Amino acid sequence: MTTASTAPTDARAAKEPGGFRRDSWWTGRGELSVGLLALVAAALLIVGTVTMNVRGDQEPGPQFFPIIVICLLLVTGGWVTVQALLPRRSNARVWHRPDISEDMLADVSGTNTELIKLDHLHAAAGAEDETTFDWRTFGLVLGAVVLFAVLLNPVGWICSAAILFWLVSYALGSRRPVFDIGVAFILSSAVQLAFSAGLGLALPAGFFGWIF
Amino acid sequence: MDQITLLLEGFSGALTPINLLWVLIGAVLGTAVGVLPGLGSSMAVALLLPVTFSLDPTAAFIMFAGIYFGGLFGDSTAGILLNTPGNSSAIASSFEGNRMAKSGRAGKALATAALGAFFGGTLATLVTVFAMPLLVSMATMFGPAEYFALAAFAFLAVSSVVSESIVRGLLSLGIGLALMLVGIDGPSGTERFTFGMPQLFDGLSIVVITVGLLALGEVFSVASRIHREDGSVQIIQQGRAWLNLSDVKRAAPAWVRGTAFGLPFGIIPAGGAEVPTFLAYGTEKRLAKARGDKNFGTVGSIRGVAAPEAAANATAGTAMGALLALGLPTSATAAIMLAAFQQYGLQPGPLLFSRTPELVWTLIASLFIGLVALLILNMGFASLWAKLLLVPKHYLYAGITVLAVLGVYAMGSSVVDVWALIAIGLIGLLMRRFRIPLAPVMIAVVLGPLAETELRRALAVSAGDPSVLVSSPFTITLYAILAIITVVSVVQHLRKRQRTARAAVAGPDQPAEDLSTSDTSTRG
Repeated sequence: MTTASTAPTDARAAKEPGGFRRDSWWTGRGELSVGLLALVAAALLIVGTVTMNVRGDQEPGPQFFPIIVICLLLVTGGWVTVQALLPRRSNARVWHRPDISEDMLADVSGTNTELIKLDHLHAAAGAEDETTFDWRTFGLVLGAVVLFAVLLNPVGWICSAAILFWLVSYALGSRRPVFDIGVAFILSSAVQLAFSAGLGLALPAGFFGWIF
Repeated sequence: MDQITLLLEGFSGALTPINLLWVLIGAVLGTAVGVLPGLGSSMAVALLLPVTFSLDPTAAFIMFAGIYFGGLFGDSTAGILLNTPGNSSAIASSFEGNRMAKSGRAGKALATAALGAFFGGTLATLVTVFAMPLLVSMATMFGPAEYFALAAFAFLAVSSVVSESIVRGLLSLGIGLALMLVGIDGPSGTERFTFGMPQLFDGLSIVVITVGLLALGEVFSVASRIHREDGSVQIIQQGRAWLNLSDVKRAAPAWVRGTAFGLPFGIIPAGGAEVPTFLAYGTEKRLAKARGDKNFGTVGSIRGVAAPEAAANATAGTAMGALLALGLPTSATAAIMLAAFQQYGLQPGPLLFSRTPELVWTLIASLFIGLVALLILNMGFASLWAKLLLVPKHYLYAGITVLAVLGVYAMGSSVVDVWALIAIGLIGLLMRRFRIPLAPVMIAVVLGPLAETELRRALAVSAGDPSVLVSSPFTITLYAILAIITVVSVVQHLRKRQRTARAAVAGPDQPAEDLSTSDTSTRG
């Protein structure tokens, strides 16, 4: 049912349940995108710093801190890019969010196995294949948000928010599309009411505004 | 005992019917986002920040206080009943909690967790109340070099020491700092990185960045890896959440020990409650082994739940103190609370106490009220919270999406903000997908301006001599500690790399994570 196309992602698990997949050069090089993101950010900062129209004669001036940030981005972004270009070795698969080092937690608690056991339970419940990127679902959700941004001013909050809610819940697997139309409109109307009556903030009324 | 009078005044400000309502709303929302996996207090505060903008700051912060602690109460519920901790701060208490639930003592585990959270949170808030004058007087002695040292410490601790990969943490930090540089530079009035767009003169709003990264990024990420066949939720029947006297006696020392671990970690920028909860768990484990406690690791030990939960909330309590007195956020959630203060034009720190004392003390009083409300909500309605896990995912995330665009639009009535939100949401997706930690971005965006201003101020005073940054005992100590923990963490990362390399050599068919364990069977 899911049209989960195999996107260029990290080589964490460069094989599918059925066996080895034909690897293209792109397989496992998705991390390039992160490295390039940092490098592009650095490039933008460099352009901005060089062309900056500095006011005042403070020392250190407004270009001082950006230079530090540029160096940071160049080094880390370059590192990640080079790592992504090098021939890959398989990485350990981890489920824990990357904000916290799993090893450190294991060290401070004097335990290791339990974390992994939890991982097994997660895998059993979710059965996620990390190599897949669901382009269809993601595309629908992204499209819904973009559509909202386009429609908001001409059509008004009630309709555009209802469409957004409906599309996202449809994309994420709701099986009752007709019922959802009702849910979506009730939600968006309630928000509009709460905002204009309760909080005194204005949301664009769209064509409802012309009728009344 | 000046603080007692001030605190009592705070209570009289907080105990109005309307403020109690806000506490209750905050507690309910906080518990709810805590229970639901993938959501957290930080995301909830970020989503509600723009919506509450027309409230008066006291009401908003009272609600945020409820959310702040509520997330930590709620996250253990899902961990105990389902073994899917709502947040990483609940992982440590899920080990023993889920064992207790499986052996038919879910009610006891839930009650232990809720009471532990209450105990840790209350004690930490009390400590905060009495340590506040000390912290404030410390903060008034700080000059630019000290403030910069604190910010640098927070940056490096969150981005490299506690995060999974040093390089990725620093990359995340760099992205956050780059985002915060956009806009007009305060001291000189120079336009920076606006590329001629007048919409960017005020900089990227912290609300847009946090909502984009935490809320929309999460929705995108869920969409990109959705599996239609949801694992059916099996909730263990828990019975009544209650403890009898002998259980309390057994749990009490663990609550105290857990709180002791949590208290100092609130003022250390170590990313939140994970480290203290694991420390507390590890200690209980060792003690159980020494005592010959057979329950630990088999049918579940009450102390293994009590200590981490108390530690988590104790951390949150003192983190609030550090935030209010020093203006220093020690976790991503605290960073968003700081962002919330800034949205209201308030800057936490010593000045906050002299300028708006009634707000601060009402907020602290409402922390206590919030904890009581949370205890009642979590002890009395534990089974109801577990039902939240049955809410269909698609409605949940559709609702979050609508709230995200609503908040960002309502803030400035500008569609440009919605486009910025989408762009940042996509960055959030990329970062989630490729395991770049998000917390450093939050810390960088919130503390970045402070770090830059103080660094430039310090260097301007010293006429460019960088030695001014390490000229006081405080800064020297701070940098020394930072150097030591950085070395330790580098060693740790290198060790991990070696292990991974060995795993790769041992056989590509072997999932690498199995090698770090001795007693796990094969996957599946």
